[in-house]
Amino acid sequence: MELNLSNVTKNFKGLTAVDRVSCTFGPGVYGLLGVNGAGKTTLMRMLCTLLRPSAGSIELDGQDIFSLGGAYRARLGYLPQDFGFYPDLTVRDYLLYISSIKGLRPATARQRSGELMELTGLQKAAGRKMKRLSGGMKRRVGITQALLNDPEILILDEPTAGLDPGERIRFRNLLSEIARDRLVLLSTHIVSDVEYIAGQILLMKDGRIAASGTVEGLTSRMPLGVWRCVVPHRQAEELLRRYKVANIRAAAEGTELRILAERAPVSGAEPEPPTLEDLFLYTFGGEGGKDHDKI
Amino acid sequence: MTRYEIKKLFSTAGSKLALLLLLAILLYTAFSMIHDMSCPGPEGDMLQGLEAAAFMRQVQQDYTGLMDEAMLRRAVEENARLNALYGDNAMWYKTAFAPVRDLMSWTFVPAYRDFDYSVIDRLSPGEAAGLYERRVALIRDYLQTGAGAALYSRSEAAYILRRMGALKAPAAVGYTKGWDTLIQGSGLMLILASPVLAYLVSGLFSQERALRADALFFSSRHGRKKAVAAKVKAGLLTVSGLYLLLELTWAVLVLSLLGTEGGGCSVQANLFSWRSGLYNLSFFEAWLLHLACGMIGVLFLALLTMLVSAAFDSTPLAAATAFLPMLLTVFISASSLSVLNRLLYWLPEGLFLLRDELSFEAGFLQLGSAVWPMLPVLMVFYGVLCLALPPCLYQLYRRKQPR
Repeated sequence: MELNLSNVTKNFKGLTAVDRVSCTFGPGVYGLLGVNGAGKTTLMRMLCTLLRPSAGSIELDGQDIFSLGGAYRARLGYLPQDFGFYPDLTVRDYLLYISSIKGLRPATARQRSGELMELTGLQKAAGRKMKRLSGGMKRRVGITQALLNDPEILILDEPTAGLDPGERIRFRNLLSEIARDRLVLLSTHIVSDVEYIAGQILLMKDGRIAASGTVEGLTSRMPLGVWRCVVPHRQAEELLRRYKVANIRAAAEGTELRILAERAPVSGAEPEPPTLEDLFLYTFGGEGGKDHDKI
Repeated sequence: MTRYEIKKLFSTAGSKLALLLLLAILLYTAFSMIHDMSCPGPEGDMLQGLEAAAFMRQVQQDYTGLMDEAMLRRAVEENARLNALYGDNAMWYKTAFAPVRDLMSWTFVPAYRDFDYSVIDRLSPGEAAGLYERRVALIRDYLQTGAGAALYSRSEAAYILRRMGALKAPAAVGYTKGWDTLIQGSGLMLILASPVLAYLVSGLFSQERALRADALFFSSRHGRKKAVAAKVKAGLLTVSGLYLLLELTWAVLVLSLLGTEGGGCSVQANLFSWRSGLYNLSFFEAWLLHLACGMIGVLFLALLTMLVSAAFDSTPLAAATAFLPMLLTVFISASSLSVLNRLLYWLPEGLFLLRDELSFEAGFLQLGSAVWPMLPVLMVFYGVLCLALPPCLYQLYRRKQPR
């Protein structure tokens, strides 16, 4: 299975949300990282055939996914960023309804939704109305519905948004469990979500793939070094102005900083191995929080 | 899929409220129709409601069958006998032949719209026997030299006279309160219930976007084909199912309270159809026709509502559409513009008011010298729309792009 994107572009009334993206996905977990407004959601919606590209093509094993239509979507599982549901349906009915539009036979749907509710810890909530669920449980239902048709391609847009740290960890473990032999594309702006589970990372900036590769490969190619130093409070303010600072922590003897710089920013600064978070900071700087949530 | 779409429809508080409203409309119609029924009783008092119906049912057995010369003569003779026996109090004893007497009161009058309650007192049995001929003469005068000459074209007048001449004579009469109330009340009930039925499906398409569930819907395997068809099917099944349930409940309620007799009697021998009716129908046939017309009407309204729901992704707008024909009727009725008034004939409400549509006063469609009464025209017009709208709805919604 190979999902191939070739010069995929999407324009919205003068705004280019996705700009000539080309890449190839095979089985494995891919983390799509980028600040809000980078174009992640638009790219994912095109991969789910919800939006047609303005230019370029998306092919699965050499066939256009829009021409494949239902046959392509039968192999797809999708959790949108804004996971909408029917508030007055019970969890069980909701999953059975989604199973039906995914083309599962009623008996298979009942069996599959039962298995997945067990996997995601939703059995006790099966008879509860969707509107009575907590945010975390709704997210779990979202993940469950994406898996109903045992998809080969799983697209998860900000799946951990609104989850508490414990639930995020549970989600990561669940994803590791189900990712085998599938193509999983996971979009997030929370670096730790993908750092441990994604084999490949794609950094998306201004509608383009700015960089891609494994965590190690990407961090090793980072042109800046990472330095840890402890400085007096007044000096810390000056360093904050001059450098990209990945972390600040108050320490007994002053302020501990994690700085991205070519050379040691102060004498006594110790080099540290770069992490994905450092790379994120290097790539996106102080961006983020733009009013482009859905782009 | 369809089953879950219907489940989604009925899961909301608004839908449950709409179902309660339908029940309230049914009960209100039953109460108002039966309560308004009255007739003079044997004790010199006015009977009302079920009591009146029971009395009419009992005494009108004597005037059941073909309203032929013998029956007409018998009614006049009986009327004369009662007048002689009771004088001014005779009216309390005439309920048995009241339907036959009323037809004479509408017929042996100088002009089409006149009514003379006491005409039977002045008729001889021989004159009464000419009831059918007099009816046609009355209509002819109205259309050729009376007020009708300005309202109907020559082709329309010729059509009316041809159809009137073809009405069965003698017509079958008898106690028909059950069937008459069934058809009349059902029309009233549908005027009120049809927007509620259409309201039920107003969120069928638009709620997907309102709940932000459209992305999942369209990215599913059947999201662009079968699932959309299931939505259309769910809407049509819900509306037609509830419509039939409402109609059949109404029929069982009315006929069990007022009696099933009279299903074979002629609609043309009833007051509402006697002078202007164009159709040879029994009450049972008229009810079946009413069921078919009502089904076309409610399906059209529901489809229009669903189309707005799908096109604009707005449940409030779609819900407002459900009430649009009713508002248009009120608006056009209040207008003095004749062009607008002609539009009244074309509104789907006509499909609910069968009693009115059986009359030539419901208007005609004339193309060249060919003339058609509005009832079949409305049935074909809205019937074709009902067939054409589902594919349009399907094509419109399956091409939607979620935001």
